Amino acid sequence: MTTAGKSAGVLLFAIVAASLAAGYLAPASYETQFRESPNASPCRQFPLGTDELGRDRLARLLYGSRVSLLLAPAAAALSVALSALIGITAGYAGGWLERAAMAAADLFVSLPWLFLLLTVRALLPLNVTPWASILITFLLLGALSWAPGARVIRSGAAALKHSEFALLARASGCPGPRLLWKHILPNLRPLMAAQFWIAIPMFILSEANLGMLGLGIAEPLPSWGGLLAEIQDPGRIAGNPVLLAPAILLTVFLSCFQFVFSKGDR
Amino acid sequence: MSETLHPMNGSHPLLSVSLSANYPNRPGVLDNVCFDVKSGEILALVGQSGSGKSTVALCILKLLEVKGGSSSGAIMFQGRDIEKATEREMRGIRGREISLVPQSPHSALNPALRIGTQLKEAWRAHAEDKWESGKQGILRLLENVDLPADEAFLRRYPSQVSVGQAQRVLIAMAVIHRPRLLIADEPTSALDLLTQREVLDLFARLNRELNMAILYISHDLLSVASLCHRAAVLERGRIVECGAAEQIFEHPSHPYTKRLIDALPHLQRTP
Amino acid sequence: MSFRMILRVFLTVFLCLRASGQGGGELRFSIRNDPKTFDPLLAEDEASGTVRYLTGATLIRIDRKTQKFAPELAESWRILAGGTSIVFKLRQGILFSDGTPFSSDDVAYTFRRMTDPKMHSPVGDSFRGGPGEIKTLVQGPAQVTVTFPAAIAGVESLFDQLTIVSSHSPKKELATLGPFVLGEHKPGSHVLFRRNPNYWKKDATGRRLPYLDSVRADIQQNGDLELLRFKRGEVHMIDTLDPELFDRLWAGSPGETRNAGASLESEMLWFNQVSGAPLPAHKKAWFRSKDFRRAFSSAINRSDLCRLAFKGHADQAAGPISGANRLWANAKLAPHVYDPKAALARLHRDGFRLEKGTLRDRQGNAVEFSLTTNSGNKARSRMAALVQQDLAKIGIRLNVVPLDLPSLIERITRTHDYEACLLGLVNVDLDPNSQMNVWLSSAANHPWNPKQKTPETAWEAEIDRLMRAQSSALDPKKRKAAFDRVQEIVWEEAPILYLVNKHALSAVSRRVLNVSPVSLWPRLYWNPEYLRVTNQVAQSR
Repeated sequence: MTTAGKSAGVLLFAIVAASLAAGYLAPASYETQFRESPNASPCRQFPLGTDELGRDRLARLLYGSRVSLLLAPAAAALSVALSALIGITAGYAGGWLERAAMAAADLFVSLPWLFLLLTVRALLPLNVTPWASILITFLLLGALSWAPGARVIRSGAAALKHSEFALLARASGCPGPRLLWKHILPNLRPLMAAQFWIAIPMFILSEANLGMLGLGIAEPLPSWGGLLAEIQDPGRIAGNPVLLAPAILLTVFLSCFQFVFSKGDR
Repeated sequence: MSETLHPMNGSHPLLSVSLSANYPNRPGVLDNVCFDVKSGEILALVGQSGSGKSTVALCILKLLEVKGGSSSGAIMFQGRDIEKATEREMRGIRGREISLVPQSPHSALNPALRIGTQLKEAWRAHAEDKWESGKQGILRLLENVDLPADEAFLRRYPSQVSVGQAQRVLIAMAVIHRPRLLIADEPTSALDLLTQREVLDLFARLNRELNMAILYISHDLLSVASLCHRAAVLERGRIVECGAAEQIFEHPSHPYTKRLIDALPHLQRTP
Repeated sequence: MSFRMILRVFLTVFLCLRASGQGGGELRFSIRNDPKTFDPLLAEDEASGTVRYLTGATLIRIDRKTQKFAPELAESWRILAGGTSIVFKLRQGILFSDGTPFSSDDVAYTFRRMTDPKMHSPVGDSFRGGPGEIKTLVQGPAQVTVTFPAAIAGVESLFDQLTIVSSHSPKKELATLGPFVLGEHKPGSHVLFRRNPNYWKKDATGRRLPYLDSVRADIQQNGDLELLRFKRGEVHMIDTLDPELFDRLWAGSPGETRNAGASLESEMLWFNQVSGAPLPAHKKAWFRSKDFRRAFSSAINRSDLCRLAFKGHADQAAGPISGANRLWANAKLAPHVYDPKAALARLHRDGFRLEKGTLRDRQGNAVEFSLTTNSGNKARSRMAALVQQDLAKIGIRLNVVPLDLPSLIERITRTHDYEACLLGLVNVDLDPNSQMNVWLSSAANHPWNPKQKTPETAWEAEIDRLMRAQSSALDPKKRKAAFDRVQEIVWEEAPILYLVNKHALSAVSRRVLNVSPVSLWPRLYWNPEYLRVTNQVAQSR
């Protein structure tokens, strides 16, 4: 591994370790409101200052990382897995199955999501623990975002289906399903990897939007979406550059993650 | 002309074909193509590009549907009509009874899989025992086809081997289960002359050592002349001439065959 | 206010007066949405209300500054026959914007049109309290008597909404009596109003009002962009500012911010007391317990809510009526005192006990429930987080669930599938009659338990009685006494916990003169005929 790769790995490990050891690194709990010092500037007690309710920003950043940085990749993996399953099956099977799957994907993309999510919210109980809310949020994100990826993967699979090597695999007596998973799927890995990388930051941000529908991560748990949402208000950054900390950490995390884990994709 | 196709020594043919095939946009690709392949024999199917040679290969493996075509007729293999076989039965035949060596080595190998994995997949299609036992056989086989028989080679990707090596890998994959019939579809067209020679020698050796019948599909009359026992000439979906290889090259009867041979000045000078 | 500040104000006024000799210019501000209608009798949404306020004239206006009734098209009025009829003496010589004269026929026509059932006029609904017909009797061009089927208490306040339309102008409702006329409307972009050349009011020097040549209301939904455009000088004022935006503007140019003190807006929290609600019985029992509700209320640190959720731009709320409503608020009420110990003691008396940091009821159920609120309101979500932590101190676990407003309304009013709700309420109307649909136990908008066939509790029955009493009494003192009592009962029983009253925060450019912000709607342009915009920025030094 190159030096750059090694340092990316170390950095990544440090971020994950810091988020897991949030309880030791941050002096305060993420939910304790130091109501006498709201909007504090960075100081010894609060290395990154406090938010509007006097909560320690460092603690919220670290706990937020734990929530988002670990779950967003998991949700992205779920989403890509669904895209692959549906896309490859459709692309390989062709015929009515393909048409049905792609019609479903089109429908999925064009559905009035807002209303469907509202229905989902209406069906869920009001009392869910914050941790359950996180799980629901990311499961939803993962489960609902398969359609665009499935379209891309379908066209990839349909092209590969007519490739020489697929024909040869069949001529060697390879059964259809095995042909799909053992021969065609590995060729779609770069496509799937791309889907995966796009999905992570998207999920981290859409989590905050789901929060608008009562489906996001519930108070008082911090999340990256919530922390990043503070920056959407440009007037605030000028007065408090510490607000950029989550954005910087997210960028570093994604670059390192990609650097370390995308080596296998040639 | 059907009498010329009957086995000369009266033994039961391994494969007896009587086929017509169509593509939706190209009807009459094969028009009642009839020929036999005897056990242990190398039969050449000769013709220009577009004469329907590859379609014959796909028909015999019942893979024409994959390309969108349809076929009719009879394919008698070892005494049964595989034209009527189910897909499940065909899966048992493909790779075990009848194998295919395809045309262009690099596009026929899966770019995303290691050589070892592809060999393992071909082996796994008809074997249920532990891979370790199969692997030993495959390493021996690699040695047999003049490939490096070591782990390092198995770990390579197709992009990391030469065209000749790739073609040998394909041949090794095709003969893993010692099929009765090997269909070689233009196996040398992508190779340089020296490598061609080696591959042709390999086919002759496999034919001899494993008593494997080969349907050798080619437009290259030179390789046909050096390798094959008999030859059938295909023109626009029809067999126009069929007989022993020497006889066809020395006394072509059909004008098309004559034209093909006339295009080869070398062969005329050294009959 | 320091002496220097006073001096500054004086200087500003002086310079403004000097600068205002010439034409009035164009005043620009933003409204949130396109007006849904330009017919004043159909106006319901805020943007249509703005159109109605700028273009229309009424018989009686509520003076936004004094909160008293002021004569407008009516020179004077008298209430007769125990409150069933009202006689108006109309101003003479007034013309509609298209030049047609105004007379008592127009008043009669307006009433006919408004009470026409086919019109579905919201103003008509507020006049049409019970069965029977509203009759108008024209007694010459300058006098008209309106007779109601039953006496309406505080009937004058209803007339603030009733814009008089022309009975015979060819331009129908576009012929107006207010200071401005509708110029053009580009949907999604702006509404332009032009000066009404026939407007009847004159200033002290005898000059015909309004001063402004035109008013332009841009459609702008985003508050941040609105502030940006204000800073660039593209709009001259912002009627309602968030505490955040207010502070941001304050940091840069404090002279352009205006805080008119507590507004009529209340932030409140209530528990679901619907008997048929899909909730477990033990939770219903909590919510129906007065001790539980009062303990909950005194566990909330209202002062922190004002300070942290609203950046200090709010006052603690004592009861349903904000102190901004000078006439009707019960001045004797004080906010529930923040005292977690007393709250716990009260809960103990009610059978609750605190075990290892968790409050449990008699059956041992942990007290945990959801607090729903509408999403997208930053101050409110901060309030929810604060309340959540306050209640954690007495062992109550709240799960904050932000929902989009339509879903929230659906749960509150139809499915009753919620536990506690945090929302804001805007009282536009000062008179308690406008709140009948909130306080009557049979009302659809009775928040905690709507549409009761008979009042389920004695105190709700008492509120019903008092509300009916105030609506039929004509003596203002009696009405006030009854409504004061309603507020006391609500304070005591705490079906709704009133948390804070937001301040009326706005921004006004130095170029706009004669603005005098008030806590009632519309805060800044309640006197549009007197506003003017100068080209020079008034300098205070």
